Amino acid sequence: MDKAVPLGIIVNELVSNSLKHTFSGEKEGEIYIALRRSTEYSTLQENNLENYGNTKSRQQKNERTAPNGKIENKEEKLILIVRDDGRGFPEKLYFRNTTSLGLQLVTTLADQIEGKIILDRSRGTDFKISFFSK
Amino acid sequence: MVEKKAEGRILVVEDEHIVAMGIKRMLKSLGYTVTGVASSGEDAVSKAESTFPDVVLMDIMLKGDMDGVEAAKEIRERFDVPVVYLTAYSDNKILERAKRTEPFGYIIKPFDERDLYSSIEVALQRYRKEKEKLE
Repeated sequence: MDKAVPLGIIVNELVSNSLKHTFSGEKEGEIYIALRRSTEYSTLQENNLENYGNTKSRQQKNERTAPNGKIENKEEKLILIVRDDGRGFPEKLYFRNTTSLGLQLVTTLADQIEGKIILDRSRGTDFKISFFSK
Repeated sequence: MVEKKAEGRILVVEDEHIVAMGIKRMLKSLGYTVTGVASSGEDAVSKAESTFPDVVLMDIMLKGDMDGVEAAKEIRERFDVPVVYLTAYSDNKILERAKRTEPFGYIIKPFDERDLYSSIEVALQRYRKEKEKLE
């Protein structure tokens, strides 16, 4: 529940953005939503400038102490993907620093579940949020 | 509503980040300075030490091992910063525990800007008076 509610709101906000902005005026388009297990942590360490700053603190999270005192290295990591093939995220917009309430909610909630956001604008808009299941 | 801008440094402890965002916005519009937002009891204690708040607004139900009551107790004892609880929780057991930490206020959610303003002002004033008496 602690993760499910924020995730639900995140999906809602991102899908609303797709519908409101990237498809406005278009006749058709596709929105893709998925939740996957991440097998490899390093796949998300992309050299994307926008994600810089969050990387350092999260890396340490990969190794954390379990309640029983054991160091857990292999926690299950999940990735939420919300993607569309619309006209793409505006280039001038920096998603972490925006007055858009929807995106503020997304970054705030991702923070709450200790997740990391990666935005890929190469085709449409592609948000990936990775987080630990526990 | 509030004619004069309020003054004071407030630390917000709240684990629901959106709620924290809202509280921060309210405090800023009232004129207060938000010294930080903590989302766990441990975080609250460390931010109470490092950001020098005049008042701590404390949620009781927090994620992690330390709840708001325990965090408040430690903050009072170690740094002598007054605590105002801000919580949806109003059952008697919690209230009893909260009372023992000698809070300067207890706000029940949902609340509005005026509730925040009056509770913080009362807490600040009472704290100043208590300090004066000691001197």
